[in-house]
Amino acid sequence: MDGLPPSLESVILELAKFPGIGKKTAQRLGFHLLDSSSKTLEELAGAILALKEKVHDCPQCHYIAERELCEFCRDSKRDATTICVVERVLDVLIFERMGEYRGLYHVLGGLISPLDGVTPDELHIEDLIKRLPGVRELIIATHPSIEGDTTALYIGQQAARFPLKVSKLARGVPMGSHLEFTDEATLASAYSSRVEL
Amino acid sequence: MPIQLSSDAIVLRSINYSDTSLIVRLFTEQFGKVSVIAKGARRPKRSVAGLLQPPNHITVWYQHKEGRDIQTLIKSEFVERYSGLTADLARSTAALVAVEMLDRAVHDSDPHSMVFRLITSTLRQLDQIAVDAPVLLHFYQLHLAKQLGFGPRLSSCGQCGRALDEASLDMITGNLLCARCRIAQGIRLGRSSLEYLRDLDHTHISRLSELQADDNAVKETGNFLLNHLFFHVDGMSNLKSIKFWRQVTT
Repeated sequence: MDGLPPSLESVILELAKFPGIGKKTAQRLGFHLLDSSSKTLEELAGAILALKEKVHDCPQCHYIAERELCEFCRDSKRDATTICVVERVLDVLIFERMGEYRGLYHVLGGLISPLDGVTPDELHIEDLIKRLPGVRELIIATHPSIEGDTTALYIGQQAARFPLKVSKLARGVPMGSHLEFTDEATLASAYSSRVEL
Repeated sequence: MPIQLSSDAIVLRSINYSDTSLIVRLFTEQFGKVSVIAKGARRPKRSVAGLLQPPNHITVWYQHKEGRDIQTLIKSEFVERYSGLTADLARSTAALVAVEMLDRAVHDSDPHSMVFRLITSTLRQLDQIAVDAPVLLHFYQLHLAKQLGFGPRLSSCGQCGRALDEASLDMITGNLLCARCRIAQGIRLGRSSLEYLRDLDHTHISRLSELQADDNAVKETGNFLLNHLFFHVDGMSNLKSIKFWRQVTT
């Protein structure tokens, strides 16, 4: 970048690597940091460093944790007989926002993608299978895509040897939307999984 | 000056591009393999991402500009929905293996209507449940090789011309050799495997359920067909989906 001191330029380049941050936003953030006090920058740098030092994978569900287990696995009030399987850590937060689910989670860390050569052994599927004894329902909440469906089918097949209910999220027309704006794939899926009134 | 083109197509690959768009590789009936950008395809209010996934059979309208590697998608709609594939792991994986093989075997802008018919009828049969997925995949591999001009010669030895009753694939010449001419490292095809291959060659896809083959013949034939394609198609040897296919079928 022309006319910028190398230190500021390198901060802007680093910030531009973040998801959803373009060149202009990175520049704005860079200048904001430059205008901030040393104390603010130290606190920010400290918080970022602590992220890597303190936060780790929950050994049970692979969500993020600061103590040995994550807050969901530690919570005795949650229903330990139900596990919701999601692709990413962020999906747990999205599910929690719904406010209705009280079971545990399992984060796969990706999806089976035959076309990318991603196979089940590269994901946390084996750890999920180990958790299944004693579980009554497994809810597979993978994305509605070819990779999400392949992953759901594979997990469903693996879970078939346990006496539990395996369910998958339904697909349909979004609330507040209109049939006119629903794509064919979603509408066909909603039609095939229609419910009796 | 861009022109608008339209064709039926099979989605071979779909890759996220920026936060809202997709780059989609298609095998079109009219124009062969074409890559298009589907701008805004992943926006919640205009999501057509479900349509643009392998191995969907769709009709596409796109803006074509000569010299451009990636054309611009205007719209797309379903021709056929293979909803049965989403309920069966072996079938959905076989479908992905079939489209990946096609992606590697055909070239950009090189239309091949017979190959297009082969992939659509294979996907249609996979979607129904009449035939085992490995048998359909073997049928597809054999006929893909034939349509592209390198079908194996199943009747006589590639070296001495003698009739074959069992054979082995010579990975140096790509020929099927008889018991006398075969070399030690060849990929073996026993008598029943050879018969199964000949049956696959002569049976219509709609009658594959009538074929009889023992497990060993199916296994040997799968190995042979894969190696045959590896020999003839550059880039086929690092087929990514085959690893998961093996996990699913063993």
